[in-house]
Amino acid sequence: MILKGEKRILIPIFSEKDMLYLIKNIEKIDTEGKEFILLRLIDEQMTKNVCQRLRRDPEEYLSSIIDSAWNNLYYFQEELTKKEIHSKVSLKTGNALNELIDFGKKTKIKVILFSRLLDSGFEGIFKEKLLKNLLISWEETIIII
Amino acid sequence: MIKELLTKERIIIPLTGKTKEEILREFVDHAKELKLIDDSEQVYNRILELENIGSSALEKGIALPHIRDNIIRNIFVLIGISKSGVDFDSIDGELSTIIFFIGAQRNDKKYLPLLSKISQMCSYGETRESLLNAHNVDEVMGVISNWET
Repeated sequence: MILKGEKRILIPIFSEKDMLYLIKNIEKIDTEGKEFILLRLIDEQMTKNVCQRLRRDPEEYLSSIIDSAWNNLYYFQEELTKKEIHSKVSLKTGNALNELIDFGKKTKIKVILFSRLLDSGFEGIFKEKLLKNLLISWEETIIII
Repeated sequence: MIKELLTKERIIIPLTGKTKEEILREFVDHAKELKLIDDSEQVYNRILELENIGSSALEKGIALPHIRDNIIRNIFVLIGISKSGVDFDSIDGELSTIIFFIGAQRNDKKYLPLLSKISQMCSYGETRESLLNAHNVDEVMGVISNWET
């Protein structure tokens, strides 16, 4: 897929599986001259729900999620660097949809790239819902690989 | 984890470079002085190359230039504070003021967790402010030590 004109592309990431899928498939689009902003989103409400279910301390759980999320982000960036694909990283916690939209607007990004991977369970349902809401709220381009 | 790798000699206050290239040169020269690396030219060229592909700048004035390569002997971290800030091509357009320079061997298992810990630590406004307002290396050590305990 060739994206003419748009230099910067925002990639929201929701899980490690999401990241691994994207590493494998990113070259389905033309990466030449593009810069990918890798944005790991951690939805606090979803995290709380998981904690309740697993009976874990929310603060401790969130901290462990953030820790592994940063790990994944740097791993992702390293893999892209090996392919000479330009990237930057960021991580946001809060309401994932709002954070994604705010981030996109603040950084004036016109294209969001999603992985088509939908995990089974909580994360998959969450991502599907977020994508539906994003289609309503986001006026710029969304592409799915 | 950060504390374990940090000594007073590994903190540079203030960084004097005005550009990304000058800052990287400052870090590399410092690493060479401390005998953390052997070939400073090789390390400088590689870190610059990496930085130009994937910017290490985060938001809110943080940058973490990092290199995982066998031209590095052992894992290390250096910290520098630039009062005026330097353009590391950050996402939010802010100049980078708190800069961590990290090096490790290619297969070092502590490398990603170290980057992760530093990124987490710097996501707290209070920590960033304390680091930026630190007047000397002891104060920087204190901020990191407090955060890790």
